Amino acid sequence: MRRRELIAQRLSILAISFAAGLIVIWLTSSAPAQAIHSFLTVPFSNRYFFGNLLTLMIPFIFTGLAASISFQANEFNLGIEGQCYFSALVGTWMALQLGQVDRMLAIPLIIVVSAVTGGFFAFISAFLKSKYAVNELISSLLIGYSLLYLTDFFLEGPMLDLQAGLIATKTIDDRLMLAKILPPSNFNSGFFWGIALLIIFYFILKKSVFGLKMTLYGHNPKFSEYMGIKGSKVIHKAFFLSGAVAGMGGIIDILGVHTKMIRGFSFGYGWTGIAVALIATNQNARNARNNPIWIIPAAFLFAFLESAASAAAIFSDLTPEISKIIQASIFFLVTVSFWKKSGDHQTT
Amino acid sequence: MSESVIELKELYKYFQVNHAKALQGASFIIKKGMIHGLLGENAAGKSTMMKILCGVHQPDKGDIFVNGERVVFSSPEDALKAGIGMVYQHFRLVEQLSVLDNILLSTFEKGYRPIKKNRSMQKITQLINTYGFKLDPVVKVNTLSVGEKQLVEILRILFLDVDVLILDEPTAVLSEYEKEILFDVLKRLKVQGKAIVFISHNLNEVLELCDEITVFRKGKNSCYQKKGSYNKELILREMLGGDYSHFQNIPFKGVKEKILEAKNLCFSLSDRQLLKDISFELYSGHITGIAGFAGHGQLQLFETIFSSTGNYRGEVLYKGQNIRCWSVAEKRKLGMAYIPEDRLFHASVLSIPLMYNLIANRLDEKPFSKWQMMNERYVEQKAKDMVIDYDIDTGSVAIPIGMLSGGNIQKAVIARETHTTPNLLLIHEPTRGLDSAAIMFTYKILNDLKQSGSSILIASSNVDELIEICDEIYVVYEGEFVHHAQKESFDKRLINEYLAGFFQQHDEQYLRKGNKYEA
Repeated sequence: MRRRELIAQRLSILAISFAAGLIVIWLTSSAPAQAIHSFLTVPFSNRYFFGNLLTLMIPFIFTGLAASISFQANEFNLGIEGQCYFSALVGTWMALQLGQVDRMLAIPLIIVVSAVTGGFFAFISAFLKSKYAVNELISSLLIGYSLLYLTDFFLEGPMLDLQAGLIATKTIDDRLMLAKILPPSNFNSGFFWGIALLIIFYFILKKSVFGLKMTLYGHNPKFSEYMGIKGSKVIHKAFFLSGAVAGMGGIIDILGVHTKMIRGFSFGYGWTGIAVALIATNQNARNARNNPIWIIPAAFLFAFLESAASAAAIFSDLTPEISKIIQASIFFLVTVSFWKKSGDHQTT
Repeated sequence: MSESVIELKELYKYFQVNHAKALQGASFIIKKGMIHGLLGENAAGKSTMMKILCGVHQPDKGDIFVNGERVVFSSPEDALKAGIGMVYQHFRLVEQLSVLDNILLSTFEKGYRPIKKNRSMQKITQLINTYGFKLDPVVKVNTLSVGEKQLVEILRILFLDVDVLILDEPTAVLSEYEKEILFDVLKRLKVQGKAIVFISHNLNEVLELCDEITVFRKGKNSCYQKKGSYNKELILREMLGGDYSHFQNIPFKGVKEKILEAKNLCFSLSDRQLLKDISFELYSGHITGIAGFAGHGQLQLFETIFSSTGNYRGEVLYKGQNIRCWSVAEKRKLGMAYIPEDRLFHASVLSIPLMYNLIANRLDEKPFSKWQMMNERYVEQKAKDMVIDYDIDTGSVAIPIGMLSGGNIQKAVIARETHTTPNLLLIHEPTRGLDSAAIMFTYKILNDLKQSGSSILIASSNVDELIEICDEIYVVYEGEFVHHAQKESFDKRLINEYLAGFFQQHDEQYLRKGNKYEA
């Protein structure tokens, strides 16, 4: 019954947000019917557009999962944007060094290095929290922003490829790129990395001892202390995993699509990931342990909005910002219910 | 003759969430100038009945009459307008605001008109004087004791000009002294012509205070009596619907070992000494009681023994080993268990399924988890066994524990902490908020544990209870053990005097802040 209520709530949020978007289209477009038609159908009209829609899902799956891991422990990792961006830089650097190494060895190595990088920077926030009671929300946000600027420094300075014509590194060797599926679109095997990760985290969150400890700690730290669960360990692990997943998302987007680290390539991935996680998360937590599989439809939705808006901009007089309007209203409505529901949570 | 004010007739209520038939044709009459005691087990329907009267719930069937007119309350606001107000068991106060602001928060001033603070202040002062409250309206709520907070709740309802005041288990969290003050206020309210409904499952209190009594049983009013013709035995039988027996204090026959030894424990928090030089020894098969009003250091003592912070002076030896640096997990593994005072928020996670709550202390143990994965099937089976063993009333072990009634949550907490047969059980207020049947049940479990050689440390403000079940009692006052007696020499009067600090200098600061400690 609860689940049905929740799905009904989510669907009504989507309906309202889409209605808001349609109203804006109606008001701004000179041929609204045409614009709405292209907005809703173009992403599905051919292989190229649909492939790119799915491609856009990949980073959202990773960042969404990253956010949802930290939510599970009732912690907020707001540094996903920065962790994702900086890890991609480190991974790219690694890939540029590994030109001659066998691809079966090099790709996992690159991804692991990126994951460890992202995890490390997220871990700092958890460490500060457990050791010095620094609010994780603020520390992760600040560290995340510092990482954005740090990355830009490396991109514009030491790692800049002057021949590229844009602010980017050298191109990574073709052998190290992920396999393309559905050409001519960018859809690549990174998607399956994402799905595999979701399945792994499904078991971690729903079935493992750590997942249960995380849930107990997230709901009631005092209780979990009495039960002999070490809160600091839980948040250390949760943040590390969250950052690691964010880092993987960054490098997989590079290896799958961009072929080199481009300035601002992951702009908004982290924040969209948080929105994805908010929609996919059962915030009233009746069944208490969230199912990460819901991240797939949520990521699909956001990817659809982004690609629909940019497609519609080509085929009609819409601006791509239309997707931002719909996203913003979704974000608003979801967070309203989020805080409302978490308000009657026990906090000690 | 007092006239009838409110009549509830043949109410029915069914809750879909936990499939509970909460009310099955219950009727009830409230009269002016009377204190009406409402007795009954947990889940007998008392609270549901009153929540219907206050407009929180709507009945499936049945009528409510106010002064002979049929009314329908669709929200608490409606009920308040009709002059019916309820003081809930759990306080609804904003800690950071003053008493005055808290009272103003609940008024119906709509729109953006400025709040008339001065006039309200006048009214509040007048109320305070009329009913003999000992409260200062400008003081912030977080500096008040539990009993004072309760008075604020009552004052807040009175401020809304109600005629009928419902108190849901008001004494559950109060000390003896605070209870006296509350009763005093209630008696004054009665004289002023207010009708009061007093929900409780403490029979003695109700007998002392109330003018008439209704006993609820299984969603129905099963017995009504007037003052003067009380039949205690009959009321008890009606409440329980079964036999009633006392705790059998049988001495432990095995070898008594020393389980825990505390030497000169001191603990201070921001230069306030919360524990002062406490030393004691706990033995197997032995129940030791700590008598004391709430906030005299019991919580800190338990935390010192059980938590892993280790920031105390003195020594705690568990079977001869110093446990200062042990983690909670290690302590649990070596047979320590702890039932904190706050069962709802410190001893359970309300939104998590019952079965995980029941085994949350054993997550890392072998059959419960393997290779870091939970063994769901075993957990469920084990939880089902515990539900049967401890007589927890639930449809399924997979529903969130928060859906159970308060008494059943307590049982679940006790089940978790005692089914492992711990060597040392720390238990804070073991029977607070429990009905008679559950109290008997808890005593039986404590006795079983004692017979199997566990050492039990109980902190309670209920001296009668401690005298009944303990082999040894310490009295704590302002963080200090001021009295010590063995079973043979228990003297209730003496213990009560030590408890109330007759032999001590009062430390006002301590009394106010003692409750506020958070680890």
